[in-house]
Amino acid sequence: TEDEIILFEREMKEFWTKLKNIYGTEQINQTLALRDSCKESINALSEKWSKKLKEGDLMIDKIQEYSNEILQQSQRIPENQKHLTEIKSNLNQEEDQKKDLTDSIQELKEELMKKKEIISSKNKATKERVERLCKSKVLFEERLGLEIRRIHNEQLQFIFRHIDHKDPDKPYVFTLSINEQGDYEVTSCTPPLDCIAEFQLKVRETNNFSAFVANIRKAFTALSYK
Amino acid sequence: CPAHPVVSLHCSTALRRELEELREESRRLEEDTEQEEDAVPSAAYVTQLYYKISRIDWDYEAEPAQIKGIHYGPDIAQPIDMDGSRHSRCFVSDYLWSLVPTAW
Repeated sequence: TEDEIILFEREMKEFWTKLKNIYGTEQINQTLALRDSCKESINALSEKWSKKLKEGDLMIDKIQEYSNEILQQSQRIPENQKHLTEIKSNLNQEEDQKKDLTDSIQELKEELMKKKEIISSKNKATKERVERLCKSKVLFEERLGLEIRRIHNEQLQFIFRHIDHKDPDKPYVFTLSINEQGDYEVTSCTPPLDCIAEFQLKVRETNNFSAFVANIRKAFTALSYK
Repeated sequence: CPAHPVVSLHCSTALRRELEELREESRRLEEDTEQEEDAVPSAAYVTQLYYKISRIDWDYEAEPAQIKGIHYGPDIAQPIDMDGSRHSRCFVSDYLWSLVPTAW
């Protein structure tokens, strides 16, 4: 039976070796196949996740960028608000100024209109006055037959007409001025009168200018009779 | 950064200019009136002189040919009323001058 045992042991060993070979190989193959498929999966997943990681990084960068920008913009906000307040204040100022100016202009326009009205009526009154004065002058000249003229050196010329009844337009003239002493002075007389010096004296004495002129006319008239 | 509203600025400038122009016009008006008032005294002077000499005041409402007025003598005022068309110029002048006293 030792031989049987040895044979049995040999058969057992053979069987075990055969078993090992068969199963072992299958196991190995299976394991190998599993290993390979795992490797593949892992590779695929690796790639996928690698991509995702990259995308994630990009997003983080973008988020950082945006955050920075937001920060910058936020910093500008108080500046801009300050600016806006300034502008609003300026606008208000300008509105006020504009109103003041417009009011001033309106006032001035009204003032001007009033002034123009006053001036217009003043002018009218002045014009009427000058017309009346001219008319007055003409009447005196015609009716009294006396023309009074201002001439050079601040002298007054008195021209009588209607003296000579035969020649009413014939002029009888004397010229009067105020001398340095402030006295009346007859500077010329045409036709000459003898009594003119006397009259000059009398008028300086009495200051009766009316009589002075009347007497000169009387003297001229007397002359015209000769 | 010039962010001022430009329209408002221009308005203000235009208004100021208008205001200044109005003030200038006002000044000019005043000057002009001062000048124009000088014309009257000269004409008035001669008329006053005639009155001083003759003491006659004419009635300006009367007909032109009617020599009508008042002579203010030293004592009394004497009315004048002549039909100028009925007398010679010399007669009229002589008469009027006869009213003026020659006594010193």
